[in-house]
Amino acid sequence: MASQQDIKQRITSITGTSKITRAMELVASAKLRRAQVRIEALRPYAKGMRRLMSGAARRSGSLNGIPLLEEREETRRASVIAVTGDRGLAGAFNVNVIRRSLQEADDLIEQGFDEVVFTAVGKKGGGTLRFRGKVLENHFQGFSSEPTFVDATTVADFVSGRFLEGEVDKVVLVFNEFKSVVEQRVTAEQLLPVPRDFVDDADGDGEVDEEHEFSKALAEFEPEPQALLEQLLPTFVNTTIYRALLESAAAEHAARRTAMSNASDNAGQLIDDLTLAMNRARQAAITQEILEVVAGADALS
Amino acid sequence: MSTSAPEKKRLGVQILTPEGSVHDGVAAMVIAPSVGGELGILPRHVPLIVQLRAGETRLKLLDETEVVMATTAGYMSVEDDRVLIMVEQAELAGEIDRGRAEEALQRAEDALAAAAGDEVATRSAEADRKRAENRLKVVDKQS
Repeated sequence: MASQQDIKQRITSITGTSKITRAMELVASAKLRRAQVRIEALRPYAKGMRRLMSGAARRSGSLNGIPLLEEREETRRASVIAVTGDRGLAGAFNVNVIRRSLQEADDLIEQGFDEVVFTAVGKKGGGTLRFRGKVLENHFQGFSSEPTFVDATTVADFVSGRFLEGEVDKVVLVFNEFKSVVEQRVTAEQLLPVPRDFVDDADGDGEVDEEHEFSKALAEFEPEPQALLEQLLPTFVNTTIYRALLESAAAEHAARRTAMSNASDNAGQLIDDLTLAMNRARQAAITQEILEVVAGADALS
Repeated sequence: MSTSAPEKKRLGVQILTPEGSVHDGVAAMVIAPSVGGELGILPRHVPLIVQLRAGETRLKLLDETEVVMATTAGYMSVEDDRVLIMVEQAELAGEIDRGRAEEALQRAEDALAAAAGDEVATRSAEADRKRAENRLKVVDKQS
């Protein structure tokens, strides 16, 4: 049995650890709240963007010939963007995204793509994917906890560039969606080419809209609808990536909070167990001493 | 357009950015920098979708006061007397501090020089610089 001294030392060390996990839990809670506010703030903009896009799409004669919208015949190379966090200690948060990204890559191969390359957002994703020997086209990091619109634009410009150069024929975005404080769901979305439903369905109810305000009235456009749509699409891609980054940030903080809360609870449990063990050890030592004294007295008589 | 009541002589104006709503209210007139030049919107304007460049957006309120904002590139839609302006960033001219704006410009230029080669840093510094320049331009016009 471990000595009292050993147990005491372990209790001290676990108390220290639990202080750290408790502090991380509180920090994650505060950051989570901020991230949630930012997701809420983005919603009206994203909705307006979609309305404008479908308004322009409706009025432009043909949607063909717009590169970001065009489904490609070729299936040479596909790209998967994995949105992870810069830091660990968030439970299965990063692992889930990586696993899903690899699975999406397998699916793309099955669909007939010759090769799948990866773009990692977040330190953790980049490290793991490289370690697994995957082809990493680019690696963005340093903004997973509080992403800005400019960060999203940087990522979007890179992947759109690769797509427009014809280097990749399809881009899939994998990220943790923030469902609620206790639930994160890994989601995979096709980013490029921009799915047609995004331009046909302004309100996002899953149906192609029959009537649209801008199609009823003769709206003026500047520049021409098709040119405007071509301008709008990159902004739409930026917004989509920005949303994914924000969702992922909120999900990361939520996951870390849960993980740290569990760790703190475990530490408390461990301290209780160890205190019990220590008391037992102390009692055993006392009993031992009494026995020795009694035995000694007996031997004298 | 439908037969709206004659007293309806105002515009509902909403200015949105990815970071949230910057302005939500009514105005008598909106003047925005479209890619084709300055564009003034009065009530009962025909439905419109235009692309905006960076510059200053002015709102004439019902009591004749003017709200001036430094806005980045974006889009504006007008429909049924509702004006929706969607830009990456919008700041009230009155809230821009000249000294701080100059500092920001300096900082952005330094960052741009330091970021040579780093794609991410360059992009972000360039965006900062453009924003700072636009901010200064709007402030200068104010005074």
